[in-house]
Amino acid sequence: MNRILLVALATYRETVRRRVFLAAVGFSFLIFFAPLLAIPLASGQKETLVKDIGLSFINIFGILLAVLMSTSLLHDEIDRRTIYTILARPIRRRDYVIGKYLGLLLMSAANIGIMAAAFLAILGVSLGRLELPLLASVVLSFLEVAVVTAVALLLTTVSTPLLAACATLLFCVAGHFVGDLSAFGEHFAGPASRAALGAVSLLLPNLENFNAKGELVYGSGVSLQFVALSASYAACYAVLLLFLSALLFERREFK
Amino acid sequence: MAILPLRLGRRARFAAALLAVAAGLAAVNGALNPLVASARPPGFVGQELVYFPSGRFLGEISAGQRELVADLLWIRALQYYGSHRQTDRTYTWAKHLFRVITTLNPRFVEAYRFGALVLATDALDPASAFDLLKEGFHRNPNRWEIPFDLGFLYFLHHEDVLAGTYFRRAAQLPGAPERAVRFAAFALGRGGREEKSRAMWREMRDAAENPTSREIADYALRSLDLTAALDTLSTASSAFERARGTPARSLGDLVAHGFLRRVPRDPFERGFLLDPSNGRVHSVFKTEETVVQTVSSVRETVRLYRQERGAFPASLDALLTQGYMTSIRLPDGFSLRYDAPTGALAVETPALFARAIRAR
Repeated sequence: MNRILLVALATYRETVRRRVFLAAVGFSFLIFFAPLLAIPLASGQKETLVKDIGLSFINIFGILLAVLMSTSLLHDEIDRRTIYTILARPIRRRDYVIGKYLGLLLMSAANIGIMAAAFLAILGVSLGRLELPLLASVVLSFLEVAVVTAVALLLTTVSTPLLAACATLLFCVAGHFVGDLSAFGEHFAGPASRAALGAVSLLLPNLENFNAKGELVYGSGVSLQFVALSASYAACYAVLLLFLSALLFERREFK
Repeated sequence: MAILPLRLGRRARFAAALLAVAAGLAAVNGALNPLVASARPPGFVGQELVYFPSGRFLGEISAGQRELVADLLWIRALQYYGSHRQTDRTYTWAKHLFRVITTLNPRFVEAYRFGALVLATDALDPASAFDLLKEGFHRNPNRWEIPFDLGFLYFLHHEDVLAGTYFRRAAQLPGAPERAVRFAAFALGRGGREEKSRAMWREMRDAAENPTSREIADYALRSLDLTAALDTLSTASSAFERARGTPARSLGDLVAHGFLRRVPRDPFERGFLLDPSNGRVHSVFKTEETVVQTVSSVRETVRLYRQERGAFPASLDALLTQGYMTSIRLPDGFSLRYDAPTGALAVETPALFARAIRAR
């Protein structure tokens, strides 16, 4: 356990020092101010516009940064040959993978946490009240990032960083259309395609489980039960992918 | 492979582990997805579409991928239609969705056709269905399917001459099937309207390219059967009242006194009810459908009112007087109970229907 924590903390320290992390956080701050400039053009939709853009960018930047970090980190260590030093120590490969994952999650938590604090502060100043219920969307974004990080780490263990990053982003897009895939199969596909689409939609992560921005901005909010169930989904899915990542990493040969 | 300490070969253990993970992912998705979906606030799809952008705007931001975006929205539209068909049968945003899709991809003939079918038969908005098809025909003058569907819609709306004209135009276009000529003859020829409608719907069902269109045609055929059954029952009930001076007390009375050989089968299998106070015959299915549609529509409007005005309407009349709705139509004897502080709605069901609806 200590070894996993050591790897996690080292990963966290390494990622937050990277320029890309600082750039992403800095840029997201600028983005939060953008809707404030657009308020005069929003024709009565001021509040929803500011909330929409803010929550979407927390989600998008959270995912982009997680994908960039997850896919480059392992490759950098192999490239710089530091992985040999790490694996030569009494640390199991699976612990290394789990540690990396937890470190990346810590980094994402920091990134999303900073962005959310800035967003809620700007929103608070703009609207004159603190919109704490929107934190549910921030939590759900973090859960989505947790699943996406697990996907990215899995793909990194078997592929190059660029390919892994592209494939992970494709997973993200597909993950938001899982419901549509099975609906499409039910309505239009033949028996074989329907079975194939059904199988794909059973394996892909359903990232819509983490999307409640609409409900939170326009609707009546979401229940704690919804957040808890989404968290359970994220945890189960991520654990299975981590298991697979560890399995593949154990088989990998370093020359 | 220390992770799987099994007595298997290395490859076999790896394959077994892969299968186990795949089964695990399927189990997680299969078990948790429905739970998460059920924990979401109900009826959000329609609300979400209030803020759905226009096709032109989406086209601008699609970075040259208009057709792809239209395809994705097509799938979303089917999902929207499917989910509302299974629940409240209210299609507030169907018109907007199909407009967006056809603006993004003006050559998406199936979107005009399916959209018009949904608008005309399910959303009960034939004017928008005609507009959508005419726009589609203007943009795709060489596609026989659109004038064919226009002819069909005109026929359903008793405009036989226009129907015949459009069927003929369809028949002249490349690839038109032989049934276009036959439908033109149907529309302009003699014979019972119901019989012709039934024949056309049957052909539409058999020629439908997607299962959803087939289901719509099938539903239309069953609705025709239901109307015929209701006509039979109403005629028998009126004859009973004329002959005996008092309304029948039940459908069984009509059969027992020889006014009906047997109670016709309900194609939706929900049954019929005879109101002993006035002898009127009701279809349980149609009554329920009207109630569910009205309640959904009122509920959504109340939600919209609250979003726009920050408070629930003081009464349901406020929705009418302030232009949010033009009418609130409920079957005889049904009424709505509204709680202004919470915006909650409840249906008051008349005794005649109470048992039939509870039994569902």
